[in-house]
Amino acid sequence: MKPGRLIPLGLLVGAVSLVSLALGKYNLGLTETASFLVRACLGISGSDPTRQALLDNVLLQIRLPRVLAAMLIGASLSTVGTALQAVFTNPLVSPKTTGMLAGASFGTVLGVLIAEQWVVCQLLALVFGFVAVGLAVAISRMSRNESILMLVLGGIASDALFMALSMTAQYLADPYTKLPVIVHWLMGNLAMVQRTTVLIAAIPIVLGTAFLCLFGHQLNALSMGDDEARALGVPVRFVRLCVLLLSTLLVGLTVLLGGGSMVGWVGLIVPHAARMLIGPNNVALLPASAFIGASYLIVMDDISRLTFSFELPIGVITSLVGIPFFIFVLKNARKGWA
Amino acid sequence: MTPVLEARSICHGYGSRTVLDDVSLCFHQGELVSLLGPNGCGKTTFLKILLGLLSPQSGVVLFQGDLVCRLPRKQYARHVAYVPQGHRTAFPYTVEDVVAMGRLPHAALWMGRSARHEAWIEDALAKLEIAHLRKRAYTEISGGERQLTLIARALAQGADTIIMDEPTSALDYGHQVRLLDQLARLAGDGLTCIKSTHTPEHALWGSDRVVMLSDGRVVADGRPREEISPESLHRLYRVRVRAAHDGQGAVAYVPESCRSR
Repeated sequence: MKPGRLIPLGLLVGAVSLVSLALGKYNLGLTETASFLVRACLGISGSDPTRQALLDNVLLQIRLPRVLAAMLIGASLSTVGTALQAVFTNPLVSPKTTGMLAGASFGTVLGVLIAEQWVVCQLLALVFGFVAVGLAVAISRMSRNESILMLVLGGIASDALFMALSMTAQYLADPYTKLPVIVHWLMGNLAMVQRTTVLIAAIPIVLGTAFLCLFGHQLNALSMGDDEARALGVPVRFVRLCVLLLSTLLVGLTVLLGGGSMVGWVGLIVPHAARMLIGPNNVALLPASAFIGASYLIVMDDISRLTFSFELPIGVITSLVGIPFFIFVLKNARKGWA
Repeated sequence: MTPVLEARSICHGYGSRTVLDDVSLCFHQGELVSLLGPNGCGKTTFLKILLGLLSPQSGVVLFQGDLVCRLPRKQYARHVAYVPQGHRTAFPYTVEDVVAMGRLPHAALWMGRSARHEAWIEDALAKLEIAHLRKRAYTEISGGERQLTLIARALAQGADTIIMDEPTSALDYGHQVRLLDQLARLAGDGLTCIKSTHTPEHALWGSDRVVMLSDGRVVADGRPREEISPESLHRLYRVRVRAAHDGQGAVAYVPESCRSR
């Protein structure tokens, strides 16, 4: 694999981000946006102080956090999806089927229900993400043969449990004050994203995603089955545990950024699209998924905030636009998975 | 001469069923050994124990005198490779990608593909004459080509011993013969090959040694020409066969029940 193949995808993320920053109710030119960003990075102030203040407010305070959040959520969920498909040797697995997304979502819903502070919701999202995956692993261990299929089934059971718990929490929630918050949030909502949250979450998300990308060779071997991977000298249980823990952490972080459970779709379709584009070798596929996922979710967020006079939740857009996109990808799939 | 691989009084079972009952075998460098036995006689279990993928209930496996269960997995993988049946994978890796996996035991946890690795990969592709397939998807090539790819991976692994579970079972007749030729050639180069098979002739053609397993016990072990006979095949498979000689030294076994009409 030549790293050069990833450069166009990296440039794509940059271009999409720049265009997305320029787009909005208050229209800014691409050149003005670009020159402002360059000046902001270099710490040079512009000639016109009032215009400067306006640009600072629109670009850095309002649009940048959203674009960054979409980028981080898209990149990490897609990379997690790709890694999980390799670990479970199954192209149907996504962050959703392992229970981690439902667990993290339930954590946030519970947070909204029992506390007022957003910090509590965020902490609970992380905690319950791990609880859900732990449950999936526990269920798989109960069977006599500890197979990967059992882990997938455990994940599906865990997913169902935490979806049911989320439903219960919604049923019990105050329909005037708390239910709207929960429903809106479950659909995925980047409008409420705060700059400090994004910047703090960015560090573990970027590090976690990069770390996951380093497992490419091991994941190639792991996707051939446990026995073969072991015979190739891969510490199967260790790699699987690392990938599961990192994935849970990343999914929890995307949920607390405002991902919501419906955004999880990204983690299924982007890995497949990326595989069509650059092939199944995880060494290149993992970073490519990150770039494509980032671009994809930034565009989805643009659609969600610009198409209508009101804002359509990003989770709805991801699914609505994602399905025709998925069909297009499947139709153009030349290499079978079977 | 110390054996490359040695199994010492291996016993194993699943639940109350005994699969291997006190199996002791030595394998020497450059030997091409065929394991013969009916379904469920413990061939696959034995191979998995040799590979260190299963821990036996009692008994030990020694590699060049060292306990395999104490060897770091990565170090063992540099010497002993596993060639599974030519399965289909979930993802359409290219033939080259699959062969490249063989370099894993020689790299740090996160390896980059250096020129040294590339040379091994090229060499393995060339030895099995599949270099023209390198960019093809592993899921799209024929069963025989998949089997050759997996053997190439074992060579890229730098292994001196390869363990194969029924390498010919999913192949058409032509591919079976070509694979057996390849194996004989590799064994001639000093590679130790241990394979299981369902076809007695495959143990006769090219193998240096045949080991017959029945009900988890070794019932015969020696040169194929001496051990394989209508009597031993009847003991093993409960079918009556007779030997057909071609007059030039080759033998095949024909079941008595299906004479040509």
